[in-house]
Amino acid sequence: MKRLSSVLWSLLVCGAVSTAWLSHPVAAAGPTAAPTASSDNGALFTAFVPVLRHPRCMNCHSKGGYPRQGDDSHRHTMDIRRGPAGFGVTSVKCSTCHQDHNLGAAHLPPGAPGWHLPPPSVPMIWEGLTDGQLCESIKNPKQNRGRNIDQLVEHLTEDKLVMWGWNPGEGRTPVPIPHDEFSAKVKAWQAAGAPCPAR
Amino acid sequence: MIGFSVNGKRVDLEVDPSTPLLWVIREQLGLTGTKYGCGMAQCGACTVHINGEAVRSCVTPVSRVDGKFVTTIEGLSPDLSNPLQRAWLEEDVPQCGYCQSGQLMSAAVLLREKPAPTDEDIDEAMTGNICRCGTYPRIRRAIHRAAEMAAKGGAR
Repeated sequence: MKRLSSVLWSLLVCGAVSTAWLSHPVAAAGPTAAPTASSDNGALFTAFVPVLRHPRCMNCHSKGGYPRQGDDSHRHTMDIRRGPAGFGVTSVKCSTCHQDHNLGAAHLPPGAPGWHLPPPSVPMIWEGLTDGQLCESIKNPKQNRGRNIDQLVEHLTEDKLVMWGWNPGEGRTPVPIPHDEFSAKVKAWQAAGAPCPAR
Repeated sequence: MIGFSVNGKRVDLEVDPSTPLLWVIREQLGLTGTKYGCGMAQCGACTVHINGEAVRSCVTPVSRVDGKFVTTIEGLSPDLSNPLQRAWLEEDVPQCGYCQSGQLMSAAVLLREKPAPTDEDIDEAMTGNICRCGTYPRIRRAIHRAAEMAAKGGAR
């Protein structure tokens, strides 16, 4: 039914989430940004992609029906599942352990408002994508739960669950670019028409 | 002041909002059926319900339950008539018993959402509740038994 080894959870850094896609209302999406023949060769996107590639983001954008943890992105201990809506299953939902804020000591569950995974219907798996594929994926309303570019940028730069990546709590590595710098890079990419690297 | 319902009874407490709900339940309200196990949301012994959802009370600040409904093992039924409690007794599930209130509270949420759970449903739902005595096979049997009882008429 379970493994005692799951007790080791306390020793492992709880990685997680920057996937607050569900916490946004799914507004009527604007037109999909057309795949762009990038005049900058995708440099404006790749300037901030290290944040998206970081375990704080990728631990919930990885393959499989479960979250991951830690800078090594190991599978979430206790066999935690994505569940039918991305919020876990029955008596083991994300909110069973995760609060809306980090708790004040190491090895306790991290937290932020709306803690969850992308839903299985739109799992937003970034693992294995090239930079170009990742860029097109996050721009595609069919793969980003209906966001147009403005909504995408707002999500990336303001969503409280995404912001957790800069404040992940004791024992967890934050995403690698300061938030102000990241926001400026994302908005520069937006202003240029959100160009993507070649796929 | 934080006010909430515990097992149907309204309580209003002057308490530090960051106090773990578990301490409030056990020490201020005297409901000691909910157990302290790890204090880190790893073992499930402290599981209670907030508005019907399972939570680990050891890591839940009491501020989270302001205005909400908390159910502890004492509130599962007033007379052991809940099918889970009956099934637990009939299957003789507990050994030392320490984890069992948490096991029951998790199982209660499972059966509410999946009244006829499969073994896989049970494994998924109970994965966060540790039993050092290894009563897992009996827990699984008891959940199936409770589901059958509930299907035939629920609490007696």
